[in-house]
Amino acid sequence: MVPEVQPEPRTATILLVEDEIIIRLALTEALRRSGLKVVEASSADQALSYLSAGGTVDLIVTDIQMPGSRNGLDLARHVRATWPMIPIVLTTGNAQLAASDQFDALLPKPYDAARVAHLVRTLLPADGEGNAP
Amino acid sequence: MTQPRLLLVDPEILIRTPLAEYLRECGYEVVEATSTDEAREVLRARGQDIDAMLVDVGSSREDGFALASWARRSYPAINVALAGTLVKVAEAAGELCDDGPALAKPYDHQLVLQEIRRLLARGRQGPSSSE
Repeated sequence: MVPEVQPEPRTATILLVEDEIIIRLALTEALRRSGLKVVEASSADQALSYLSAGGTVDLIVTDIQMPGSRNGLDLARHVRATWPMIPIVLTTGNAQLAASDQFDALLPKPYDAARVAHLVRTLLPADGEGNAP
Repeated sequence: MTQPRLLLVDPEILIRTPLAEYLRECGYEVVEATSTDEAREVLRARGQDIDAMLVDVGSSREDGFALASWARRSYPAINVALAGTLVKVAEAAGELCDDGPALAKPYDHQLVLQEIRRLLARGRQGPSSSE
């Protein structure tokens, strides 16, 4: 009898958009330790470059306040319109900025990296697939 | 055994991301910096944990060459490899008086891996006499 071969589960990919390198570094390490792939962007423009090029992303975690032509809310609006299946987590030190329906969860800053990793896991689809642009 | 830790400095997400992922799959821990300013912050916070760095000499704002020079002075234990167009890298490497690797872009991932392995294997040889 031929044993049933189970396909290897695909590792979910998180697009982390954070302009403060030390914060981004701590969070990427936590997410990678929890078994996730992380694509790092330091601006909304970089994130959109990656997505527009067809980069595979299962969930986006983005800071709101960032330098550049777009902030995190602008990014969230664009993603909602273009890739509506990708869950979005906003992080901010000012919750009033996040008065928007363009996201799935809001994390106040400073945040606990392990808590973020846990939240990300709860928001990912069970099969880890289907959200890629 | 601790994985060697690399600092990869490249502003272009579509270039940096696949290279970083490839190097992770090869067993390295990779810290990504999207600018020379970020790289300096990482080195100030964690310079003692970085074994080697790969710097795009065309990095935006401050030239990557200036970062590489500063890193060699401030963190002499860190091996520095330069990347960029052939002409730019040749100029930078010459000014650094370094016989270290100069990697042409677009990156050949396997070549980058070979150079990093070579750098880490030889250890830091210290600055040249003219530095």
